[in-house]
Amino acid sequence: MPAPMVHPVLKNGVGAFIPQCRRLVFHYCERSGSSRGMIEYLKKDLIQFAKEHPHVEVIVTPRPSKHPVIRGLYLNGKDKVVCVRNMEPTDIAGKVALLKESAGNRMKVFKKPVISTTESVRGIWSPFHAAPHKI
Amino acid sequence: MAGLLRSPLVLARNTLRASAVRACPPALTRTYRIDVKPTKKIAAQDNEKAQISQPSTTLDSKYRIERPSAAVVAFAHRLGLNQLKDQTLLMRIVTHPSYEKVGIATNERLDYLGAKVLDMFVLEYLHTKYPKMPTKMLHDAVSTYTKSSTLALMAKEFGVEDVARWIRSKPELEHQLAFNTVKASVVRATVGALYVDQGPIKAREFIHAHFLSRELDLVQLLEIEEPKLYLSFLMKRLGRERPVARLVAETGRLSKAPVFIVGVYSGTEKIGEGFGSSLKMAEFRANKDALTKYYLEEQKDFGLPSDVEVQGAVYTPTKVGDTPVVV
Repeated sequence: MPAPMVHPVLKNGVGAFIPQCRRLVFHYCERSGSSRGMIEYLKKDLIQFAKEHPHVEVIVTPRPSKHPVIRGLYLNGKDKVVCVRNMEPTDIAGKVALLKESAGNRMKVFKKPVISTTESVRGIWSPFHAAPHKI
Repeated sequence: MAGLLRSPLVLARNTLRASAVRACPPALTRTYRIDVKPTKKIAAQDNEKAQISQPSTTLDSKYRIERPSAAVVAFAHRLGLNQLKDQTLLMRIVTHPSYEKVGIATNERLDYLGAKVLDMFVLEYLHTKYPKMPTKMLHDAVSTYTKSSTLALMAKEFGVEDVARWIRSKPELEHQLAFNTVKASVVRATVGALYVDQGPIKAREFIHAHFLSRELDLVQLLEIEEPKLYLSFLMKRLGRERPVARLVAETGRLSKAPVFIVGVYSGTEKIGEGFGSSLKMAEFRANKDALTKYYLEEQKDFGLPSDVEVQGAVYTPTKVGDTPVVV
């Protein structure tokens, strides 16, 4: 009988941690006023950011007559786009950090405090293995 | 130039003027790179003694040195390949043999080498951790970690899809090359490159961190058609009392959804337990559970044979387990 078609599942961080953000693309316009903060960020802070995060590929491209935009691309193939029109460089740095730390998944509400594939250490209670209630 | 590895910043210059906007669509007229050196902290983590004066990727001088692209550099840092002494290996790792251009080195050799290294270290770990595992199951377990479909999945998680260089089809080929094959070859070549450049222990660390840390339920690989028969033979071989199945608990016997808990006992010791909606099903599961507990017994705190390569480590050999029961 051939082996069953199963694959070992990734547990990011258990062995090695693979940062999920692979690329950040910065779009700006040379002329429009909404890109003023973005251009200042590109000149002042971006190179330092790129130095500190060598696993992220950083691309800067002009996009004339449009608002400045940052697009983050992730290892799951998805992307997140954030418009940073009329923002100051500090705010833009905040958005960049948000994109860098994200994993590309949609924002969703986690209703449980812990999500795990391993069972609890003490085991799940079973009526067949627990002693019956005694008064 | 201290080294090829940088975190590149690609800047495109806008040369359009207002009058020309309507004349031609906005386009990247020229792109140029700003090479950004990683911070001292990260550079200190890199191998400081890296010397890339001569291309040591290959002995043949016809291969030209390629600067790693921005995506490849990011890929390298993501996996810890920035520690490679020979950075010219990076472009080689991501180039599949189908990408036949003049003077480009491909990953065919590293792929083959990496496949063997991967098999070796995965097998070594599983063999030592599960000494009593049947050999066929051990073979299946190793192949589950190292087969192409798993490596293709891993490649997607590594971000190989946007760095792999390959050509899908050529007139002389009968069928098209599959992307999964290419992705798997890149992952194996990564292992091979680490082994060649950094030695077996670094390759082993990489394999343990990326491959063996992944979650796999080994129970589903244990395939036994007649667990009761196998278990009775096993107990006989071990010189223990013959297994007897006993009902531990039950509920709803005459209802639509009965539950029976059956335990398998060797003398007074319970060696396995199973549940089921019928007595036979529960007994089957109990026997299977007993075999699973025996064959999949884990060793804790074990040393691996390749520890002899680690300086200062003392390797005490672990006993080889018995072969599985012959029925």
